[in-house]
Formats: sequence, C-alpha cells, structure tokens
Amino acid sequence: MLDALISADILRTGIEAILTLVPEARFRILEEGVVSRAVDPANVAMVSVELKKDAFDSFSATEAEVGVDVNRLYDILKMARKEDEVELVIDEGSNTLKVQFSGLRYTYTLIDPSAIRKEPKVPNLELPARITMKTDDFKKAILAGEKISDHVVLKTDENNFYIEAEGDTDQIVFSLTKAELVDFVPETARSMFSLDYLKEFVKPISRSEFVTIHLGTDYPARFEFTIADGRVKVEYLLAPRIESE
Amino acid sequence: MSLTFHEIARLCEKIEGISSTLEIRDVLGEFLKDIEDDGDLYNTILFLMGDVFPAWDERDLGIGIGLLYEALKFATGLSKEEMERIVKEMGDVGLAVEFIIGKKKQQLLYVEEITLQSLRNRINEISRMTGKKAQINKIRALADIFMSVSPLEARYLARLVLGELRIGVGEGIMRDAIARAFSVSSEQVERAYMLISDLGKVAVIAKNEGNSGLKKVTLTPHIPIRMMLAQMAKSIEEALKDIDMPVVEWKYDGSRVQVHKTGDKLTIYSRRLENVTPSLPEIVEGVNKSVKEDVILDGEVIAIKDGRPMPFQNILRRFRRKYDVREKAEEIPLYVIFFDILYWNGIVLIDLPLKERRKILEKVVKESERVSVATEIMSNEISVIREVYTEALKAGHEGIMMKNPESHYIPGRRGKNWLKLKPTLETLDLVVIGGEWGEGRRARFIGSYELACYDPSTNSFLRIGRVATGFSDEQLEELTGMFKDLIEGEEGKIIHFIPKIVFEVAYEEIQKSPKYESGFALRFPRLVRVRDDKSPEDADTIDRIEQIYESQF
Repeated sequence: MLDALISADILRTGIEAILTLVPEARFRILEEGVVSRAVDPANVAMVSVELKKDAFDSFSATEAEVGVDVNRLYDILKMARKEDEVELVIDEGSNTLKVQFSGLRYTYTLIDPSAIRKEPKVPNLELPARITMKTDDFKKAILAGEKISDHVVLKTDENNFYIEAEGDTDQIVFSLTKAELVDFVPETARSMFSLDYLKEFVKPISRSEFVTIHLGTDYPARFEFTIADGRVKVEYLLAPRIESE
Repeated sequence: MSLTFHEIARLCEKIEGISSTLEIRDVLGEFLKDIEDDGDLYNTILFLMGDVFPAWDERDLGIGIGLLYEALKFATGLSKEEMERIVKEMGDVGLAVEFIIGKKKQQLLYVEEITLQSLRNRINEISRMTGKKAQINKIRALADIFMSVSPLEARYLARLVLGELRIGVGEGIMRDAIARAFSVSSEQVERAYMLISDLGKVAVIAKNEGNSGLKKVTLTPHIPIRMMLAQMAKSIEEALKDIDMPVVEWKYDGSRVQVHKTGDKLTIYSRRLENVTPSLPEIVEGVNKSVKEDVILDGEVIAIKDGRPMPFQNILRRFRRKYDVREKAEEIPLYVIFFDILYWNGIVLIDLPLKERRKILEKVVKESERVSVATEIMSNEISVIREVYTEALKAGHEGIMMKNPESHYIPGRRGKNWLKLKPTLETLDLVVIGGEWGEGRRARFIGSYELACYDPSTNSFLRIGRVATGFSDEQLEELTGMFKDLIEGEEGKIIHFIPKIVFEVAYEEIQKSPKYESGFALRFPRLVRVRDDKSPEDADTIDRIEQIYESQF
C-alpha cells in the first residue's frame, strides 16, 4: 500500500515534528501523499504534517491508515546521512514498515491505529492576526524567553509584533516592526503560551526559513511552516494559558 | 453513555460523610444496582476501593506525589513549594488539589467530560508509557485529566491516582454492597473473590448471572488465589484441642509463594499476590524440571546459606529485584518447598481434604536440587510434636504448622484448620528521637517515629528503625500533641526530637542494616504502648539488641 523513495533529510524533519508531541502516531496514506495529525498527551498541542506526493522522489500508494512508532523510526533515521535516499515500504499483508537506506534495511511491525489516541475535533478557529517572520528571529525570542520564564506572551498591535517574557525580577521584550516582518496582517491580539511546547517547536521550525503565526486573544495559536520548497507542510496548534491578574 | 467521573466523585463525597458502615453499604448497593454497563460496574468497584488495577495485576500507574505536582504545575503554573505549602496547610492532598486546580491557567484544545470509560483508557495508556519521554508524557496525560475535571472531581482523582482514596470502603463493605445490589449471597461473593482476587469481576458476574454464576466461579491458572492462612496457637496442648490428629510440618522461615504452571507458562505470586516471576529464575527452572503437569502449588521460598536459612529480608530483596537477577541468584540461592496443591491438570482440588491433596502433591512434584515437598508427620502425641518443633527451631526455621488432615483449602481464610506455633520475641523499649509529618489525611499529624537504642558507653542513642503502624487516629493526635514540645528542629517533613519518650515496640525480627547507626533494623515494628515509666537511659541497649539478633539463628 506504500512504496516510496524520499530524501532522508525531508523525512527526518517531518518525523521530528511529530515526535515533539507524541511517541506514536496514526499516518493516513493517500494517493496525494502522506498525512499525520496527532494531539499531545495533555491535549494542549496538536501537530499536523503533510508530505505531499511531490516531496517523494517516487511514490505509489493505495489508501490506508497505519500506526507508527515514530520514536523508533526517528532513531533509525538518525543513522542516515542527509543525502541518503530512503525507501519506505508498508506492506499490508505482513503489517510491517520497511525502511531501507545505504545498505541498511530495518523492518518493524506497525501498531494497530485504533490503539493510538484519536485527534480531537478542534473547532474552526478565527485567528485575526497573521505574522510571518524569519525562523531565526523566532528562535532567538523563544530561547531568550526561556532563560527567565516558563511562558511567553505573543501580541500584536497595529504596527508591531511582540514576544514578551517576564521573570521574577526581570523582563525580556522582543519586538519586530511591520517593516521587519516578512508579512503582517495587523490586528490587535494577545495570548500567552507555555514555553515547554514552544521550545520544542523551535527545532523543526528552524529547518524552514520562515514561520507564519496566526494569533488571537486568549485563544490557541497556529504555527505554520514548510520545508522542501513547500512540498512538506507542518502545522502546530497550541492552546493558550490564561493570564492571571 | 458511560458513567461520568463526576457521579463517582459525588458518591465518594456522600460516603465520606457517613459513619455507619451499614449505611455506606446500603448507599453503595443502591448505586451499584443502577449501573447498566459492565465496564462501568467494574471500574466503579475498583475506583471506590481506591485501586486502578487489581493488586496482582502487573500494570502499575507509577504516579507518586512528585509526578502529581509536576502535572499540577503544568496546569496551574504554581511551584512545587507553593503546592507543598497548600497541602500542609489544608492537611489533605485531595482537598489541596481541589483548591489548586481552581487556579488552572493552561487551556486545552478541546475539553471532554471524563467518563469512567475515558478515565480507564487514559489510566491504561499511562501505565503503558515507557521509554525516554515516558515521564513527560505521563505528566502531560495526567495534567490533561486534571484540567478536564471539576474541583470536586479533582479531589478524589488525586487521591485515587496516589492510591490514597480511603473513603472507608473496604473489601467487607464492598462485598456486602455487591450482595445487596444484585440479590446474591455475601458468602458467594466472598468465595468468588478469594478465587479470582478481583471484586470488579465478581460484581459483573453477580449482576449478569446471580448466585448460580458466582457458584460456578473457580480458580484459573495464572490468576492468583488468596492464600489460606493459619491462626496462632498458644501451645501444642491448646492446638490439640482444635485438631485431634494434626499433620505437623515445619514452618519454614522464608516467603510464601503460589506457583502456577500450565504447559510452558509459569507464574509465581507472592503472599501479597504480586507477580514475582522475573525475580526468581532458578525457581522457575527448578519447578519446570520437577513438575511436568499443569498445577497450582502453595509453598515457601527459602534462602539457604551454609545449611541455614538466611533472614527473610534477603528473600524480599530478591522479590523486588529487577536488574542483575542472575548474579543475585548466585549470591542468594533460593529453594522452594511445596506443602499444598490447589489445581492439577484441569481439576480444582481445593474442596478435597488436605490428606488427599497431599497424596497428589507427592505424586506430581519430583524433588530436585531446588524443589522439595515439605516433610510431615501425623501425630497427637505432645512429645513427638515437641520434638519436631525443637528440630525446626534448631534448623533456624520459625516453628511448626499443625493442620487438620480433613480440611479443605479455604482461600483467604485464617481459620482453626491451620495452626502455627512459634516463639514470640520479647518487645523492645526504644527512645523516640525523630519523626516525620504524615501525608494525605495524616498531614497534620506526625505519621511516623524514629526509634533508637541506647549506647551506655558513649551515652548516645543509635537509630534502629521507624514505627508507622499500630496507631489509631486518636493516638496519632495524642502523640502529636505529646511530641510537639519536644521538637528540636525541622527539615521539610523530617522532625528531630529531644530524646525523652520511650516506646515499647513489638516486631517480627531483628535484621542487619547499614541504614541505621546501630547496624540493625526491625522488621514490622509496631507500637505496643508508651512507657512513661521509663527514661531514655532505661531503654534497651545496643548490646541487648545484638544478643537478641544472635538468638534468632
């Protein structure tokens, strides 16, 4: 039901994005590509990874849903070199996933997808503000915030986007003007988020040049980025923390 | 629609407010009667008794107070220190969590009401979590549940996951409530429970099949059966009044085990019905060699070194060992001695008389290096029995068992068909030098006391163990009041006292221990009384402890 070739680097980034939230995930194999959505055990964050058909160097598939131990798959993929071609074969009959690169063949049994927690039905979110920025900037702000706090406030006004962290005795404000942002739909918005999650998101996000954030007020935020020229699309959804008075 | 956890929390709150056990039974019975779904009934029974799995189940939530604090920190942003302070102030983990969860800050992507079914799924999921991210995933899964419930639910959920529910529903009340709810007899419920060790399952059978279903319940290999227990006899003469012609065996100084074997599968349960198979590879090999048929055997595992049994603690240490099992197997070699058989090639033997079971046992077990059958004699002559008793003690074992040869095997029962005779060790008078504030319901009280013996040569007190059992609630309060004025210092929960008060303490055995300065520790210490007639210098000395230790061998 799947026989495909893909570059090790692309596959690894997609898997890493899922692994930040869950050790096991359901993968939907479609004729147009492979999609996985998973919610973290706390029901606070969700990840969605879409590997479009043209992200693969060759792709032949029939529709199916399989459960994958992404933790193990990632461990194996770590052994591949960036430029390695990975062959992925999912065989329905033997219920196995075969991963093959540079002479190494790894076969393991798939997990029954019904044993893996279903993604929740997340309502459609109206997120008025949209910020597109360089991932380097985003990374810098998050890592700085982490030095003094376990949460940050993301906020926008008409002209700027801010990432703010507050410690017991100190404060960090990172701001970018409209001109410094790659793209900006200005709308007043403000939400607070746990750095436990954001710092995990930073790693896969850094593989892309830009990240787009959709933001509301005391509302979940959506973080979108693409790699391999848009052929792999990753989205994180993160529930906010309520700010105390 | 599955029952919601909210309904269970409301029931817990109601039961907590009732002091009469009969009334609790009735309230519980009414509640159980109306449960439609089998899964809900099963979970209700376990949860109300404060369990998430039956005791013998290998699965374990692995959640302690530390992990709970982490989950609540995730949900509320409060620090561990702040939460500890709240717990101490409120004097109860449940009430504190109820208060803390009201301050939750983290939002969820999607909120779903927690039902018994969804809670069961999450519990099973958490128990399966292993690997490098297990800890963080457990914390997050736990946080999710706590963020999805109301403060009242959080109170009972916290106590449940910590194994501290204690709403006053014990096995007896639950048994009677099940009987009432489904109009079956308490005796049948009890019997079925002793055979399958899972009241949840028993309740489901009672609901669907009534008395006749319960009667059909029988033991199943690889599900542990409550062990038959013995009453203490005062003397041989007294014992002979209860059993005219007893079968006499040594009471081995080891640890009780129940061995289940079918084909290649072999499981060993401890007295607490825990699965200890992985820790005892040489016993597994030995039994596989000695026993070819399908059986459930009852016996004692002993550690022998230089021809004498090693103290009980060495065996217990082996039971708990998870790593380097093989190396320890060479250092502390274990042997098993069987004295009963409950099941044989598909036939349940517990309703046969002991003498018949014994014949089958001897036929089924071929003795080998690690495996033997207990030696027995049948006699009603005091002098003959006394000789066996003396021999057993001389060989370093505990004493003797006297059993009625006509008796059935009655799981979980401590009856007069099995009697044990062993010398009782004298009590010790020890000085209280420290303590620790309790947890949960006992947070306002000093929950345990550190004991020391006296060393006259240095005029100092040497620690020998701590006593935490044998207290009634009234006594806890009284003792806490008594020691409050003697507090010398406090570090977190640990308290140091000025040595002044002497406890009379009973115990099962004195063991060597590197943990305390005295070099000894007490097994199963319990408070007998406060010796207000004794001063600290009148306490038992380290020399006396050494003497008693030596006399045990």
